[in-house]
Amino acid sequence: MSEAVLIIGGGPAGLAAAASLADLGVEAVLVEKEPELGGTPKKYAYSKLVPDLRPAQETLAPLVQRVQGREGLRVLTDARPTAVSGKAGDFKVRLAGPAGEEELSAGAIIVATGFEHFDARRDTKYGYGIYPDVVDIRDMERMLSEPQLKRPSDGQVPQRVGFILCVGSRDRMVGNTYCSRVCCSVCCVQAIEVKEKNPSAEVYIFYMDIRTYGLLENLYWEAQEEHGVLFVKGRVGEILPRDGQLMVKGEDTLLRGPFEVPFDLMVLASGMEPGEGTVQVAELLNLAREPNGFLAPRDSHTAPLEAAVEGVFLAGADLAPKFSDDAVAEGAGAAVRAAAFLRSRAGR
Amino acid sequence: MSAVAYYPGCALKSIDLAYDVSSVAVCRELGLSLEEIRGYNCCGIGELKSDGDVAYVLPTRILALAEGQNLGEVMAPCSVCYGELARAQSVLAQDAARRGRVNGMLQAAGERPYTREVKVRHLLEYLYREAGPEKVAAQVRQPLKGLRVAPYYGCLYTRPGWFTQAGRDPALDNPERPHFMADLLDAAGATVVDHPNQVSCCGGRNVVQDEEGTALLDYRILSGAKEEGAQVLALICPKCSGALDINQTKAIARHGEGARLPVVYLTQLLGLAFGLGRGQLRLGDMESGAAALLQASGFRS
Amino acid sequence: MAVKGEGIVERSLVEDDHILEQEKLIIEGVDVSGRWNTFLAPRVQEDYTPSLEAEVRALGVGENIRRCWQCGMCTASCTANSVYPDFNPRHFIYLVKLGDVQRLAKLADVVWRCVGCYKCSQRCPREVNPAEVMEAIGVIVHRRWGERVAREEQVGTGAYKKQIYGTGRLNLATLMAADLRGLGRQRELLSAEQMRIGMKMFRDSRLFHTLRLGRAPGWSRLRRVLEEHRRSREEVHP
Ligand SMILES: Cc1cc2nc3c(=O)[nH]c(=O)nc-3n(C[C@H](O)[C@H](O)[C@H](O)COP(=O)(O)OP(=O)(O)OC[C@H]3O[C@@H](n4cnc5c(N)ncnc54)[C@H](O)[C@@H]3O)c2cc1C
Ligand code: SF4
Repeated sequence: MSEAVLIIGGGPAGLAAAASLADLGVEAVLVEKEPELGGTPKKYAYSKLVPDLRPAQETLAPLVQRVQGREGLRVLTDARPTAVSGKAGDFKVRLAGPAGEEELSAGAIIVATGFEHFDARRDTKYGYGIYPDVVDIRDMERMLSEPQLKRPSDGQVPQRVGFILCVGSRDRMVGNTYCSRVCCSVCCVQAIEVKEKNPSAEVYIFYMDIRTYGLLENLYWEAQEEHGVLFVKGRVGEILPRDGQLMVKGEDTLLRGPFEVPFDLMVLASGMEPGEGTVQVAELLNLAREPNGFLAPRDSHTAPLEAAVEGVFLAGADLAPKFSDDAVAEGAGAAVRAAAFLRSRAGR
Repeated sequence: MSAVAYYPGCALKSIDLAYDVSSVAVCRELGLSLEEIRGYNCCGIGELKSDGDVAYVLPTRILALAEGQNLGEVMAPCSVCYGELARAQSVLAQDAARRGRVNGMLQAAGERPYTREVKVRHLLEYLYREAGPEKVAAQVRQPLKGLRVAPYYGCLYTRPGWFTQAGRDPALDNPERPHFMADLLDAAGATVVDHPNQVSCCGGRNVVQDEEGTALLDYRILSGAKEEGAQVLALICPKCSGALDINQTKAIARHGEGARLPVVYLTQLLGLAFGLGRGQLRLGDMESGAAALLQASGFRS
Repeated sequence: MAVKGEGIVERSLVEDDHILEQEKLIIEGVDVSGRWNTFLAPRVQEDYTPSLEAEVRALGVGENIRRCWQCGMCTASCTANSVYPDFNPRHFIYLVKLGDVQRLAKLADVVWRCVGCYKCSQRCPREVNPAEVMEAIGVIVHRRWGERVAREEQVGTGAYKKQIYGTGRLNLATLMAADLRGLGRQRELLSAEQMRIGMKMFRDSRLFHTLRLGRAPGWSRLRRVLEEHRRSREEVHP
């Protein structure tokens, strides 16, 4: 019997879970496979964040601070679980880290392994990975973190920038039929940032529908009303290089006809997928996955943060695409569920 | 290596004999053994699709014949035949009820049903995976040095990916940016010319019905390759040949000399590099002047 | 006689066939010819006809039409659209889904221009298989407005089917001859160009091979089964 909770994944969800457990006085170990904490936003140097355009660094730092130097909380980076045995109340977990292998016991496990970006090379029609000025929103976050936005091929400031929504999402052809949920809002923010850095730039967003759900609708309005971002309804079928620019071909469904327009920089809104780390942990712990590969909760109405495997709790973008505010809320929620679980067992 | 069932289809046994004999000869040189399907029928050439299950009977009969010859794979050089076979194969693999109906029709006519899974392959992918650039290079006796060749893949060689599995099965070519032909031509010593319309459509389907539209599509492909410096366009489909080679004169008549470009089959070029004889290449069958060009460039068959 | 629709303000905004006007019309002895009887057909979509989509789905080959969400990927990738701007697979699908018979009828001679390149089906995010949905829409168009479809297409499709069902083989030489005969262009078979190709194919033995193609073995039995099946389909959807 162990009183400790193992948290796998040091992104927003895992960090929130760890801090919450420390607040509750529950012993915990946080393992993160990357050298730094902060999850995907940190790893890929996100620029300004939805919903309020604050710099990622500013919002991630407090999350990380809250897990540092806390009593009863061990934080291991560059480490990941390699084998799990035992069961709820007494899991035996083998970890591989920089200091070699170690085994530890945990009464409960929180899985917060997050997501990976869709690899846009898999959708070959846009030439991602072939034409340097075709980038995706992940690259764009890093590019926008620089003082000036420059296009990769020649370092020039792009005058005409286009975004293509739903790349690798809502597409049977690439095998992902779900909506990645964040991309519409993220593209609105990135479009705003392009305009802020270079007010004379023209920015176009090619869309089928805009899913700035709930309170995020204001980002769509702001991009349109305050920054003059233009929304073109239709799909882009292919991108070809022409005379140092990108020729973007598609149908404008409102004009009911094809377009072929030159752009300096094209940004693909590549979506979110369950990452290799999530798949690995799902296999280690025998966790159920829904048809798209995300982790499936035991019951999405009554136990949305619990796995079907007893003693295993779930939080963050490994459950479904979501923003980090939701991931943080779920991390805290999973921490409470795990603590309650351990307490109920100790009482028995 | 075990043999693969060879399905030449109708065109290769008549007007496009050059593609048949050169494919067979090139495979032989590369040590690939083919066993022609006996008693085969037309694949349906895409013209029966709107007739429902009937459209599947024709290609399925071919798959069943291969099965009857105890062969697990069918290889077709014609992209249209390949497309029809791949369509039937993939649809029937997922739709047991339809498979039952199609087999019912075959059996009602005293034919053998299609009971196992037969893999369908295109000649180009077959050459690439079973021989590949290295083996091709090893067979070259007359490198195609200095010959500027534009590979042209057309449509059904990879499309749509959910029939052919291209883009899903990593063994297959890339449906948007194929490269297998370019790699093989490069191995044969040719200079491969990159051009914009390698996977655009030649309009072959409507050659007779819509001369005007076809001529425009052909003009775009031929002139696009020519502008990039190609001396010859290499094909892998007899339907494309019908449009781009036999009907090239119509594209020239409507759109001018920009459309004049010799057209050959990939296997004719590989055979030429392998030093095969005239009877196995039949370069003279091509209408758009390939034989003269290759001779003038100093290549001997 | 005045020009049709002459009296209409902003004439350019009105489509030709929306102007209903009789050249000669006398009502109760009053001559109201030309602009005196001009009417405008309504421009407002007044109804939907869901049965058209059902008809397409019933053909089997168009069964996935319901999946379409009108994104435009098919048209963006379309070969035929690059030649014929009115050929817009996305728009055809929309017309069928709404059951907009009038608009579709106007495009009857455009629908068959699909070249079957499958670029749309390759890229369509919903796997609608628009290339094959276009086949199905083509069948509907032939059924309803066959007379509006170019003769070349009617003859061509017929010739293919006749030969494939008839012999189980495709003989391109006789197919072309049948096509040209059907179009009353048999004289082209004797053109200098055709004669040259014919002679060439005679000399290089291809003519001999072509004549030898014949029928697929055992075809007559299969032919009966296939034709029976086709007939039964036609009885269901005349
Ligand atoms: C382009 C883009 C822009 C975005 N912009 C915003 C934004 O502006 N605002 C916002 O709120 N959200 C944004 N998001 C969403 C945000 O990134 C996620 O909501 C958030 O990262 C989810 O946090 P997480 O902890 O669940 O997952 P992650 O951030 O993915 O963290 C998971 C962590 O687990 C680790 N891990 C995985 N597997 C293992 C393993 N087996 N062992 C050990 N460690 C493992 C990973 O290395 C990673 O550090 C954006 C997303 C995208 C794609
Ligand atoms: S690409 Fe597919 S979903 Fe999009 S409009 Fe065309 S048929 Fe409909």
